[in-house]
Amino acid sequence: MSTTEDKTRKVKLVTSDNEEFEVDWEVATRSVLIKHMLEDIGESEEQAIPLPNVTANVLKKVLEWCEHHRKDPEPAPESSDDNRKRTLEIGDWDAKFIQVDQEMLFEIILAANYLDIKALLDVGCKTVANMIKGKQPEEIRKMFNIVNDFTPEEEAQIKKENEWAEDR
Amino acid sequence: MEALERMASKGLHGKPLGKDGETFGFELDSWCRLRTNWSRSDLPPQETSQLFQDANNLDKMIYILKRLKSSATRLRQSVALNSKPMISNLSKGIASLPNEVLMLIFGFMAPAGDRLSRKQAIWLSHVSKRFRSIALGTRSVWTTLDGCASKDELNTFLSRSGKGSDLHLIFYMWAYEPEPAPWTRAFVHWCLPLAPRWASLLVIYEDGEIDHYDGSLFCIFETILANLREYPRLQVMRIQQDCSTTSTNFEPWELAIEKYGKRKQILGLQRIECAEYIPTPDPLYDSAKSFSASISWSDFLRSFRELGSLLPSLQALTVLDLTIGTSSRVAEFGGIEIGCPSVSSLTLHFPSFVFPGAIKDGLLRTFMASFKLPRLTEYSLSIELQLQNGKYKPDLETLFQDLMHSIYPDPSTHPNLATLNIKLSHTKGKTWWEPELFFIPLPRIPYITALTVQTFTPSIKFEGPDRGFEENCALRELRLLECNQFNMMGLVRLVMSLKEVNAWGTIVAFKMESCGQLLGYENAAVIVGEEKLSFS
Repeated sequence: MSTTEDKTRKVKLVTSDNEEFEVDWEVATRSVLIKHMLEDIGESEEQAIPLPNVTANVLKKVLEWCEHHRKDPEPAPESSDDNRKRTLEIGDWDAKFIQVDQEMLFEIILAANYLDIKALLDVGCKTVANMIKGKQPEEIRKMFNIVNDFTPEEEAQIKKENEWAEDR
Repeated sequence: MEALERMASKGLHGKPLGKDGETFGFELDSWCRLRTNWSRSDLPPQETSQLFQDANNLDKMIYILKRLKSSATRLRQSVALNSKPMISNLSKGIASLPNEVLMLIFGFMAPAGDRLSRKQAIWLSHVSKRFRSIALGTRSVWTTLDGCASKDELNTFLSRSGKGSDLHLIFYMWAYEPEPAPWTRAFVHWCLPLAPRWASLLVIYEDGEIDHYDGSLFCIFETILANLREYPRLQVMRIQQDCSTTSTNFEPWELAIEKYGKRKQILGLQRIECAEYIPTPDPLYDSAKSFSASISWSDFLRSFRELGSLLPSLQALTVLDLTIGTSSRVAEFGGIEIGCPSVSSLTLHFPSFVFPGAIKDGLLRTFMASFKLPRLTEYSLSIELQLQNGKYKPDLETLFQDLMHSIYPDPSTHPNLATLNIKLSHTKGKTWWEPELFFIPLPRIPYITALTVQTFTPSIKFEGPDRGFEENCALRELRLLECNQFNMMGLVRLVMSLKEVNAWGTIVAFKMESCGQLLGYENAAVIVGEEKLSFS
């Protein structure tokens, strides 16, 4: 539970390329990882939180998302994962936000995963899912430069399974 | 002048870049001397002419430089475009994602119970060794058992779904021939021993002839319903008919329910989702908390009669969600009551509301008046207008205002309704008329305390009763969401209209979210005041 004091507090974040960001506590704590780190260091406002797995350009984008969603309710507990997976729909703002090149998209997903921002991770994963949905294996390989590395034996099994997908 | 001539001739025909101190063939020092030591009156006429000629040459050089710059820009863009795939190859891309993230993506792609999940699961496992290994480890993508799969495939899916996981079944009642395919019956019998793991059931009736009481379909439903006690995990029932078959009774299902359903209910049933079908009331559905249905406007009357009959029987129901596909065909709507004692949340979607066709004759007003949900606390409405031409503008404006007055349930029968969310959008296309104002008649929403509006109109106008409110207006929070056409004038009109109906004073929070396309915080704060305004 956040207090009024928390809401006015500023948090310093330092990226892997040594850039410092000062953001509102409410924005920074959309990340569960940062929230826990802040709880660990206590009231110390001067102490910067190091984020060795995130570069400045990616953190900037992630913070843009956190700023927009700063008032969103706390994410639902793990038990509601089933509902979370049901739909591929993305809100209008999130859809515009995630219109980035593939490299940045994967960077955002990795950052959201590392920082433990479930809602942002979902937006990124749904975007990738929407890109792949309905595509056959060869199309997926082409889209992401994936090499077909199956052995001849595995190929034989796959050929059999492929017939299932060709049915109704 | 010699220096100037030399500069001009070098500029056009010489090297574009000279040694230090010279640029494009000009000697800059000579230029300086000329500019400082000579005045215009000192120049004889022939030399003035020479200067004009030189100026002309300079213009040509500027033109050449512009062409060069434009060519270099194109070259740079072309290099960037051609190197994109190379950069993409060099970056790790999807390979950089850890397994647990890929599992999450696969889960989104092949959600349990979805009709497309089966093919998707197979295709994902055929991309590469890593994809296959992750797909086989993502059990949820294998939990959909589809009635049109072969036995071999079903056994593979079952083994990959893991021991004891929830299962999601899809039964097809597509009778391209009068009798269902023999495997459809065998599929039911194959599934029955797994009944304790059934979590959702999707029954699809697509097309063709349907058999009756003594037919094979009835036998299948009879088998399912006769074994109801064996479905402890069954939470979701989905029944879908094709739009073209809505006039056909879903007879075998209904008859099987009549025979077996009345004996018991599905204890864990939480949600019923229907498309072009409304079940007949039965104790079978008694525990359902959520009911959603999509209904065609063309078959609207029959569907709502059936809905009016079903809803009062659903005593545990709290969430009602209806999607109404409209057309310009207008049917009469009267004498129907859509009531349920326990519903607290109502959502209506009109994904293709033909305007003005579907608003004629007060049909929508009569439809909204048919709702009797005494415990309703939250109402959400989304209308996507299909604007059509062919009317005079004043007529359209009157009809639009009429539409804006017709979208609320009767306040006298919904005294607990405190939260209202409205989204008004329109299909993209060429129209010669678009509404200017979103009208909100406060007397139609007297108990609403929190109102969210998302609209494409440039402003909103609140309307009050003729004499204004004698008592305080209930509205405390107004939230504008993605009102991207709002500018300063639009916001001023909105605030003015609230003041005119004495509703401004009671509002404590005025939230503007993603409305900043034409309007910044500073301007909004001047109009609304910093105390009330929240802007993001």
